[in-house]
Amino acid sequence: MNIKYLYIVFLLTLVLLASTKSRFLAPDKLIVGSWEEVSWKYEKVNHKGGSSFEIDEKQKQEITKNLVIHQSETWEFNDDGSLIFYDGEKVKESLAWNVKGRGNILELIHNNKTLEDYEIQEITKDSLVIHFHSDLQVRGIVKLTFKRKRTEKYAQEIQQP
Amino acid sequence: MLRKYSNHRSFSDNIKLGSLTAFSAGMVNVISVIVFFAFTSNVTGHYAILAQEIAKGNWYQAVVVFIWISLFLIGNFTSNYLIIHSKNSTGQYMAHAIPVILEICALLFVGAYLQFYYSDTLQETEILVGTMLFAMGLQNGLTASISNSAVKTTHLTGLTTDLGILFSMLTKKEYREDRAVRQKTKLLLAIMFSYMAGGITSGVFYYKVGNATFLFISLVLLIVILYDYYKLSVTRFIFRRPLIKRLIIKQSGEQA
Repeated sequence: MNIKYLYIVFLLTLVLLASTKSRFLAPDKLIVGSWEEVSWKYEKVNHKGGSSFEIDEKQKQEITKNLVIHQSETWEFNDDGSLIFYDGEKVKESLAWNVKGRGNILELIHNNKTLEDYEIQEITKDSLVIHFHSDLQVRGIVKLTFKRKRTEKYAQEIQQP
Repeated sequence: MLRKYSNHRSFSDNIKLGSLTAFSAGMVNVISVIVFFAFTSNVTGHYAILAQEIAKGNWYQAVVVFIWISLFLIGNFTSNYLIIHSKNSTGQYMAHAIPVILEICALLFVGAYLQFYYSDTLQETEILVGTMLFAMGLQNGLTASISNSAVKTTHLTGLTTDLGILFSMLTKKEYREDRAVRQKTKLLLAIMFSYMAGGITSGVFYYKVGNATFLFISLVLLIVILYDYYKLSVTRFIFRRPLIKRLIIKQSGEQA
């Protein structure tokens, strides 16, 4: 078989796959908007093989030494790559964000260049679940759950056909 | 390293090719994890992730992973296609060198893009990871094809399995005395340690020199090409000398 035709087949397959991909909303587009934190849990696997969300203070300190604590915050992801943490109406911090990997890693870049990496466990139009990403083979140490904050702009967007 | 094919390859050819290419694969894999949070030298994990994303209904991520796997496959295809369609010895050398040249181009493109244009978007990440997987596909296809599957340098699953088998074989005296078993063990250990060394070097280099690490990886691959080019030139030079040529022919006639 002529090699040219084979590469044309490869190219067409890749184009077809890329166009299929564009039919779905990418995680970095889906995440844009305001998210209200609804829960913050520590996860560990207990000795019986089950999962529990309870750990002692020492473990908590060890786990969170590289983790910035976010509590009762609203995270506003903007499409220019900026992220604003709100405590109520007050701006707590402004930083940068990006999504990496296959769309499964959320990277937060603080102004002092500190990096926070989270694994996006679930992302839909209404909910976002992220796990603190401390190591390549370990995940789920800290689980943060958000729900989409219904702003006037968002309400207008979802009402559009 | 690259000139000889299949059963004409010596242990020394395989160990040189295996060590250098495993070193570069280790470097590529670690740098891609640091920069993009994605593995690029192995696809076993990607198959598992693909299944997981399909099960979760994350179609966007599933398509991305499928494209990555396809690019690795196209890299393998390209390498082997060039090898099996090469004719004379110079053509064979070129056919074996072209996948490495393409690999260098792909990796330099990634390095240059990261240095000058990268703006941390997901689309850029997907394309650059795909390019690195294509490069690793080229390399793995080349090494596996020309060494008759004795050398596979971009992933260590099969290698670790083979090492476990070989170690168990070495518990018996008859296998310990078998030269082929000893050589295979040495080859696999060389690949394993080179891959690890490449990974560590990449990690250290990236934090010191950043994207210039890609230049170093390309340099390692360039050694593979230039070493063989040098050997090929020396062989040709020897064969052009009439006296030496006559001596070689005479010697081979006596041996026959």
